[in-house]
This record gives sequence, structure tokens and C-alpha cells, in this order.
Amino acid sequence: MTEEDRTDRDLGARFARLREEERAGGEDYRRFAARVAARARLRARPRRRLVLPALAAMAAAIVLAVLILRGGSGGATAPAWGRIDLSATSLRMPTDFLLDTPGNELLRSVPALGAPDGTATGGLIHAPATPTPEKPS
Amino acid sequence: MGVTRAELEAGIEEHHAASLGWALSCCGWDRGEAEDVLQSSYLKVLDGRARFGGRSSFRTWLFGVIRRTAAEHRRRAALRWLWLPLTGADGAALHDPAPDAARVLERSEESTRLVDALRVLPRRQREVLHLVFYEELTIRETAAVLGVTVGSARQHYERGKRRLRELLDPEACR
Repeated sequence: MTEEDRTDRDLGARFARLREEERAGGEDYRRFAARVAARARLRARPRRRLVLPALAAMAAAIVLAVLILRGGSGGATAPAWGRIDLSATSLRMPTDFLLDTPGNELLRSVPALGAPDGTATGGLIHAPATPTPEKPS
Repeated sequence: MGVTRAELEAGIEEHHAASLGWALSCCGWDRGEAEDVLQSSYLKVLDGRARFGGRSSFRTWLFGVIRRTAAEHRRRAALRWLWLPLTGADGAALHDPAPDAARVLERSEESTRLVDALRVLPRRQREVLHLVFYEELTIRETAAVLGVTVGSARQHYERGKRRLRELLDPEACR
């Protein structure tokens, strides 16, 4: 008998003993099935108790999501923090005075087209609001 | 032609003791987990989620179903373990890896040593040794259960046997 044969025989005997012990302490299929079914019912109970709170939480989450989405799309209930009026903002830097050149107000003013005199526009001569055809001389 | 439910139940009943042993091995000899796995496997077979095609013996096929179900349970347990810090649940309540005291007392000292040594082996080697020695399957049937080639199963068998012998009888291996 080789060393390998002895190992096989030894392991076979050890596993056989383990198998016998496990099977002696085990139960037949019918009893196992009945016990497992009873345990499954016991486990299912707490889950059933959690169903209602879980559904309520889900419904609350859906309502909240709908409210936020409707608010974000600019409806009447839009929250104040969701809108910024860009036209009301202005940025003044400490060095802005360097850009103030002499006569700046003349350049920035909007000419009043068709005004009777140029005083309103700082003395500038403007073309009339509607161009008049040139008279032949 | 398919297999009827009565035939499936008869097959399950016939191989129940062997299936429980295999489930125990797949679950690291944790009896509670093994029974859960076995329950899920039987349900899969009976409600048609796992279909017996007749390409192998019923026992080989059933062992394959149990092995895949045990792997699913392990993955689920790992996910639950990841969720524990977020949910604040008690980990011990979900999974208790400590062996059942009554079961430990029932096992002889020799068998307890064997189970402890098997736990040290890599999973594939442990599975091959269990199927060959405990379930008395051939290497070919073992390969079919594990979904590997016969050559691969043989290699795991040889390595596992050598390692198990070293663990059980370190003096003889020196």
C-alpha cells in the first residue's frame, strides 16, 4: 500500500465519521421542511409590520420631490432663494475711478433723437429722428 | 418532457441528508446558514427557478444549485455587513458565525479537528475534498458540480489532500 493510498483511506475514514455524526444529529426531509416553513413565517412577521411605515415614508418622499420640482420650474410657490435678479446687481471695484476719463458722461449719455436743441445731450448736434430728403439747391 | 413536481420532491427527499452535508460545507459548517441556503435551494427547484435539464444526475445538479445559492447568500451577507454602519443595526443579530454549542458537543474531537482543518483550506480545495470524501462523488462528478474541468478538479483534489494531511498530521509530514 502506497503513502497516497494510506492518506486516501485515512481521509475517507475521517470524512465517513463526520458524515455519520452529522446524519445522526440531522432530521428527515419532512421535519426539516416543516421547521423551515415555520421559521420563514416567523421571519416574515416583522417585515409585514414594517410595510405600512415604509409605504408612508415613500409617499412623503414622493410628495416632497413633487413640491421641490414644481418650485424649481418657476411657479408661484418658487422660493426666494431660487431666483436672483441680475439687473439689480452691480459691481464696483476700488480702481474703477481710473476708467473715469474727462468727458466720460458725454460718451455714456444716450442722444435724444429729434430733440429741438442739443442741450439735453451735452451740446451735441444730432440728426433728426426721421431723415429729411435733401433739397435740391 | 419536463420533470413533475412530485418527482422533484422525491429527488430532494432522497438526497436531503447529502444536501444538508454539502450545504454545511458551502456555509463553513454554520448550521443556521446552511439550513437557510438549503431552504432557498429547495424553493428554487420546486417553483421552477432552477430547472433540471437531465444533462447530469439529479444529485450533481442539485448540488450545483445549492452551491450557487450559498454564493448568493454570501454576497447578500457581505452587502448587509456594508450597510450595517449606515442603518445602525446589530450585526450579531443578522449573522452569528459562532458554531452552535449543541452541535459542537455532538461532534467527536476528531471530527471537530477535521472541520477546523477544512475551514483553513481555500474554498475550491475544501469543496473538492468534501464532494469526493464526504459525498463520495467521482472527480468527474465533482467537476460538474463545481463547473470546472476535470483536470482543474483533480489539481484542487491533490493540493487539498496534501494540505489537509499536513494540517491533521503535521508530525507525519516532516
